[in-house]
This record gives sequence, structure tokens and C-alpha cells, in this order.
Amino acid sequence: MQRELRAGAAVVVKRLLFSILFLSAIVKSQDLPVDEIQATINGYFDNFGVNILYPAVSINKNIGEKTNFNARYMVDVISAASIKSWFKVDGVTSATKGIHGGGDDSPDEIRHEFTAGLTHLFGDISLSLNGIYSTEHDYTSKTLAGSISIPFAKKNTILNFGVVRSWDIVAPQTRFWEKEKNVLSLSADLTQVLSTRLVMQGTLYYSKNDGFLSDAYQVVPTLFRASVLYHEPIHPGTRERKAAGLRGSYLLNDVSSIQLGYRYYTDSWDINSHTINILYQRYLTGDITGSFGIRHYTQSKSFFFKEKYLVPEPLMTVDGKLNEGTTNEFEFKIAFKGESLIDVPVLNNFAGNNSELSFKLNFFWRKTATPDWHSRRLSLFAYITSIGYRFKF
Amino acid sequence: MKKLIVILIFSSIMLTGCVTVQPWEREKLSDPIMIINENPLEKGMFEHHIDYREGSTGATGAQSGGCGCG
Repeated sequence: MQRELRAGAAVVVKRLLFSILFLSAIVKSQDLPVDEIQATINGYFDNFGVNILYPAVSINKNIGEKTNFNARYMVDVISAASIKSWFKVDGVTSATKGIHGGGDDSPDEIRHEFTAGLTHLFGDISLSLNGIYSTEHDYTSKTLAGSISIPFAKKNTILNFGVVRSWDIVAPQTRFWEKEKNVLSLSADLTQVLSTRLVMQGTLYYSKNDGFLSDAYQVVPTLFRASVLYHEPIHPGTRERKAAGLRGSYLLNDVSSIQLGYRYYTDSWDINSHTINILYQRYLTGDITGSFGIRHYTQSKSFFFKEKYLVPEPLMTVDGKLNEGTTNEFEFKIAFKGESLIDVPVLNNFAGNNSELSFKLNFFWRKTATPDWHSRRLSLFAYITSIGYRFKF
Repeated sequence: MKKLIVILIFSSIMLTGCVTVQPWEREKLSDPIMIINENPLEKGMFEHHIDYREGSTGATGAQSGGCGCG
């Protein structure tokens, strides 16, 4: 009897010790990121002639037990970036066909983005504050983002509230003006552990946009006495955007999981959209992870979008992303833990404990209801590639 | 939209009250393949492209700055 009691007590003590240790790990992993350096080289290439290279480097470092510092630097090098390549607008109502930009392989735009932030734990509650500064020759954006994360019910429930405020300045090289754009976004997430295999997350999102909300390099053509006139697009000065999403992650077995997500979106410009995504992930070996994802998106057009305008109207746009359309996207990713690369030539330079090398390819296919105003194509095909290296220290 | 929000909030409250998974039973849930948006850097850059090519945004758990003119 005494032996049984002692054995029972030992089990209780073991469980208690394990739960304390594991709880600490959960606190660490959920509330403070691990110390990590990450570098990625990304590429975007589409059939509209846009090519982008955007390397990025980031660091997460814990300062003491309760504070984490993060920083990121990213640069976009864009060739044939935009539609500005064909139209040099005179700044009022008309444009002439330009010959500069887009016709060669030299970069048309370089954008730098800097991010820095702190996360601090107040007991179980974590508070984060991040600043983002993005600059390029014709666009500047300053963003402040704050969030608070509150766990409940033995950390089976986590409530997160976020606020993002950004101040942008648009100064296109083909216009004579400079305009502002301001965005305020609020979000609330609830993450719930439902079983030892299932986690669900619900998100509510609200955003209010004011100021210059159109693309400064697009032009709207109209036909006047057999000649084409080009006008600046005119969008409403405000936009209210709302979205609700539900995501779930389910452990299929010891080596694979599936994530399912759905989002509904609506806004004051009459765009309604549905997004469904599925991501299957699997350990191919102990050190190699493979994943495959599909994303399907469909949206209605904004109330002022038209393929063609006969005469100038109070509101007008030909912007493809405000058109009715669907998107299908396919994602493939493979990630190698450092130890698995020791015997592989070249890649063994990245081998090491606590490191990971990954390769990712996305194929993006957007089809709009009417042809794009500039390329006259219905479909946009894009390849998005990424090579990433993560090192935990 | 309002119906969806009410359903989300109501189901969340209901689910919160009826589930207790002990900390020592959550080992598998902390595996990288189970974490939603496991790599925020990667997710943020993906959203950055999407924002410029689709008319919707938000409720994805990712954020990025700049005009995204690419």
C-alpha cells in the first residue's frame, strides 16, 4: 500500500515538474520569440513584366527574461515596376506615351524598409510595440503597431488585440503634387486550444483609410473626337474595410498536420471577398519538412470600377485589383534542419545545430472579369521564390 | 458580416468554457508544423504582394508597410 502511495506521489511530482518545465517553454515560445537571425532572398516574376528581388534580414534577441528586441531590414529592387513605364502624365488630365523605364533591365525603383520593436512580459501578459519605416523615391510610409496578448484558462485561450497606425506620403514623379494617406487598423484574435490535436483561431479586423487611395501611376483613358485622353483615376477619399477569419491547425499524426482557413472581407467600396486556404505539412524525415498549400480567392468589383469610360466621371478607376476576379495560388516548400546538410556539397556551409535552410516556390494566378487596362491580359501569372536561412542562437 | 461576427464571438466563448488541455498534454501543439503563421517574416512579405494585387486585406495575422508598388 505504502509502495503504491509512493509510486503515485512520484508520478504526481514528475507531472508537476514536467508541467512547470513545459509551461515555461510554452510561455517562452508563445510570448517571447527565441533568439534568432533570419536571412531570406525572395523573388517575384510575372507575365506583366514586373521583376522584384527583395532580400531581407531580421534578428530577434531576448534582453533579460522578460523583454525581446526585434529588428528587420528589407530592400525591394524592382525592375519594370510599374505601369508608369508607359505613361508620362502631365499632371492634370492628359498623358503622352513615355519611353523611359520598364524597357530595359535596370531597376526602376528601390524601396528600403526598416522595422524595430520590443515585446515585454508583464506576468503572463505580453505587450508589443513595433515601428516600420519604408522609403522610396516617390513614397514614404511610417507605421506604428502595438498589440497586447492575454492568456486565459491555463493558456488554452489567448486573446490578442492589435492597433496599427500608418502615415504615408505619395509623391509620384509624373505628377506635380504630394498627397497623404492615413490608415488606422484594429484587430482582435482569439486562439483556442480545443484538444491535444486541434487549435483554432478567430480574427476580427477593421481598418479606416483616408487621403490619397488610388495608384498615382495609373491612367484612365477616354475617347474624345477620335483621340484618346488620359485622366488621373479618382477614388473616394475614405475607405472602411472589415474582415473576419477563422483558421484551424489539426495534427493528423505524429509527422503531419493540416491547416485550414477561411476569411470573409467587405468594404465601403462594395468589394466583398472570400478566401479559403489549405496547408499540408509533413516531416519527410526527422530533419526535412515538406509542405504544400492551396489558396483560393474570389472578389466582387468596386462600385466605381469600369473597364472603359466614354467620358470623365466623378469617380473612376481601371485598377485591376478593384475588378471582379479570382485568384488561385499553389505553394511548395521544403526545409532542411542544419544537421541534415553536413554531407551535401555547397549546402554544408549552412549546416549546424539550430539552423534551418528552406526553399519555397509559389505560383500565383489571378484572373479578372475584364482585361487589365495596361497589358490587356485577363490573367496574371507570377512566380514567387524564396530561399531562407534561420539560425537560433 | 454582423452575423458572422456574432457567430465567431459566441462560438469562441462556448469553446473557451468547455475545453481543458493540461500543459503537459500540449507538447505536439508546440511543434512548428502546428503553429499558425509560424514564420511572421515570411508571412508579412507574402501579404505585401497580395495587398497590391487583390482588393482585400486583413484578418490574416500579418502586417507589412510601404506602398508595395511591385
